[in-house]
Amino acid sequence: MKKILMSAALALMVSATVISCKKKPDTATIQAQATEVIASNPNASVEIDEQGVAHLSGTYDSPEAVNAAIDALKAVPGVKDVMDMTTPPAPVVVNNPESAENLQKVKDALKDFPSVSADVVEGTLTITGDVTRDEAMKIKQSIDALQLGKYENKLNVK
Amino acid sequence: MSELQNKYSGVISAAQQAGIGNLQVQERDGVLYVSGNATNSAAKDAVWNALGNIDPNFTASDINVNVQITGLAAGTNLTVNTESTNLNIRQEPSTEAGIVGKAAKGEVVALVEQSNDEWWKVKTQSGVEGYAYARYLKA
Repeated sequence: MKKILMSAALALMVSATVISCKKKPDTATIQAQATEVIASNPNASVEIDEQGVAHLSGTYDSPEAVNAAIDALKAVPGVKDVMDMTTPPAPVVVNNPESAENLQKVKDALKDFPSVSADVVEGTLTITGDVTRDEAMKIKQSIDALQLGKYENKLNVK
Repeated sequence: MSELQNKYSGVISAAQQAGIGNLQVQERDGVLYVSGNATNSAAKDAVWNALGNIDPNFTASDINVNVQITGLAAGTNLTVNTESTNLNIRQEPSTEAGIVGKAAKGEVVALVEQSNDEWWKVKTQSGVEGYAYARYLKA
């Protein structure tokens, strides 16, 4: 079956090359248009391969939204087919800021900023202290990555 | 697009442009969670610079950006990117663990494995192997 498909695709390609007089949109043009078509969903991305097949990946809130995106992509001139490689959205993970493991991770993240302290009050992490802008960025990078839910960032940026 | 997505649209588009893989943008309890994987530090930095344009002090509580550099092959060269001090190489992935070696700012170390998001196992030029805090390693 695969073989038949392959040869069919090949035949199509060859005939398209031979017969086609109209200028076909090149891959970059198709890619640009396809990207624009799905741009409203930041969780999705699309890649056009050399055969003009659109590979749609990422996540959509519903199967209907996936189908709508596929239809929109099929309407882009030059798109031969759309491969649905989307996955259902994973729920946001929120870790417990009070577990010993996560308290240690917060400590690791803040070790190099002795003026910064962290407290967990009623399940919410609060960080305070005086820092530079660059330090504030590094701290946010590390604390955000721990996914401890909404936390109070009371850093005073000098 | 939601209000939060609009507010931080610059971060989202920077992530898209930087080719952040498995990009996820979700809201929960008034926080916009933006997560995904980068193949190098430059892509991750692009996202954070975009956040800096919207939240200049990096203290906003309504956005959580979690871009991890993933998929680095063992042996990948990493540059020590500390403020000025030496980077501690530790026996275990924790600041509680003993220090087995140090790497100077700007020194190139080899990746052994990305043990987790926070700690990567590396080998220094002098042959010391241990765990370093990934925030200080530039890929």
